[in-house]
Amino acid sequence: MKKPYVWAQLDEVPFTPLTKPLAAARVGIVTTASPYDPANGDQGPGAAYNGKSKFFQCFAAPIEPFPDVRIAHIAYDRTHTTASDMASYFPLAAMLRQVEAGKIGSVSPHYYGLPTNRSQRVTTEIDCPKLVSLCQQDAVDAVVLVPNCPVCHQSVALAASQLEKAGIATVVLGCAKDIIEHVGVPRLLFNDLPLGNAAGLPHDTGAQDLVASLALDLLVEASAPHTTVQSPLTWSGAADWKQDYSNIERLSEEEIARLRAEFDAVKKDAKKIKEAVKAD
Amino acid sequence: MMTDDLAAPLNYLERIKSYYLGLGYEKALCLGTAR
Repeated sequence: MKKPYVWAQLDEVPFTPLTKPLAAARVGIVTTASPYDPANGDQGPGAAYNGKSKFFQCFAAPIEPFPDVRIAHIAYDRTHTTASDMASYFPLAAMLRQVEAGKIGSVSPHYYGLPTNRSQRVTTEIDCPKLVSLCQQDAVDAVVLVPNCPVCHQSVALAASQLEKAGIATVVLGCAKDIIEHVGVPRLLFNDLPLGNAAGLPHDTGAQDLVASLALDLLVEASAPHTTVQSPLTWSGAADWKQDYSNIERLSEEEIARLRAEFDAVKKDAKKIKEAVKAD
Repeated sequence: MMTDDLAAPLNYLERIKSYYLGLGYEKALCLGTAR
């Protein structure tokens, strides 16, 4: 009999205080978003799920020129999130403004891509050590991790733990509070917004700056693991957005059959892509 | 019937579990036995 998937849950969550003043700290950004590559087809905004743009290895990429990262390979809330503003899921611009404001010393010259992966073994044994190494090479003092889909939240939570063990303070910007708290992280800045908006409301620089500022404050103010602060942001779109995400009760039998067929097709494609990547 | 308090944070773990069970998958992304 097949066992149901078990989400990660850490018995102990490491905690590293920030070891220098925030105004002198170098902050890195970890994202599960993927660099835009036109060869991979439609990556949005508003694109259907596109497994071709998925990446399977941790990477560091320069922040100059300004990156273009997309979330078409991720199961964010496609009903309510347009993904039309990269800054709602990738807080580089907001962090650079925090540097201008003197709140932090610098942003790392690279941002870091963490693959989203249901395999906790791959995340903890392969991806996280690589991520730690990349951050250490850039002498990063602290990291802001920004997930997009449910599994992304688990992946970044596991990554936060390893970064903390390596002496790098972390704060997760997340929209799935229960997943992050189930795994256990040192610091969570929770935005009660649809998946795909963990860095703030789209096309709202004020909201994005608020999220960045609150996250950085949490780096300093948290004194123990499992610290969660919720931003005051509320979704600017439909008030009942929470009713929709993966809600089986809202689906007809025909839609369920269609979704099942779609899911089966996605799994087949994902397998092919993964095998092709292994073969390279 | 699952009713949601719109003010409370969404319970993604339960929502995903119900979704995949509803699609007929027992293994995928369900919350397993709690520790």
